[in-house]
Amino acid sequence: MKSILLIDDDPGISDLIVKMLNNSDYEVHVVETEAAAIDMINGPTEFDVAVVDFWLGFEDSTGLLDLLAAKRPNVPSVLISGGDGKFSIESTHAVGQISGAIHFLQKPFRKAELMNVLNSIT
Amino acid sequence: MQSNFAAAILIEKIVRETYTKRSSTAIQPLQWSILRYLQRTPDAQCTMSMLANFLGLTHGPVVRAISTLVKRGLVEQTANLQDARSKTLTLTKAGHEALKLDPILGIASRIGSLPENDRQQFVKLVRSLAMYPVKEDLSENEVNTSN
Repeated sequence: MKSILLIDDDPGISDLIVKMLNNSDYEVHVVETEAAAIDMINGPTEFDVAVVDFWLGFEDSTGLLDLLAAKRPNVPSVLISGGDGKFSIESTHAVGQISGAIHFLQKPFRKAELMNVLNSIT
Repeated sequence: MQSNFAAAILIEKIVRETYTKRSSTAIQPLQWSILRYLQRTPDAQCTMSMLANFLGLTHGPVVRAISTLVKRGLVEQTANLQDARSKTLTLTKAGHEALKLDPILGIASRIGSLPENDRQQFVKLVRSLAMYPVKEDLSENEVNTSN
């Protein structure tokens, strides 16, 4: 069983992703806030991949991606975003790449697209 | 500060020089963005709606750009098996070939030729520049160059 750290402040999205991964080889640890994510990244829990929403409330997640790269250099990050109206997803994708995210998924995405990404990196 | 304005001029000049082909047949910056999207995106997400959302644009300019790319044989539209209301956009072989000449590769190459420490600093600074909120009063072409 592989482990995913899912960082998303929208329970509707995180519940959907957890459902997508039901009966798969992945167990999901969901955190909804930046503070909880920082605790998880700095803590002892092992995870194989981090799936990170770009917008957490009014804050972006570049700080978390930087922390992941520094503290968990062997854990690949997947950035997900549906945009916020002011900052294009195209820009979000580029910012994510600079921040170390090795894959990007644009919302809405299907289970097959998520599984393809996860299977390619774990 | 004057150096801020000077840096802005250099950024603008570097980008402008990248798109040196100004003839009517040249691929325009928006069209390059579309070709890049179609190259890296799974087929199921290669729809007009997802593309417009990705670019942060309304459908109008994206539809026109796609129409031009289709006429030039760089993109084709096929029936979307997942959604009968939309079509799937796909790069043609010519579209893939065109991307080998993507002018933005020139800028990426220039960045890549920087000493490694400078390169790492540069990409992080560009990220900060992109993320830093744009002040509303500077968005109306009223930059004070004497600051």
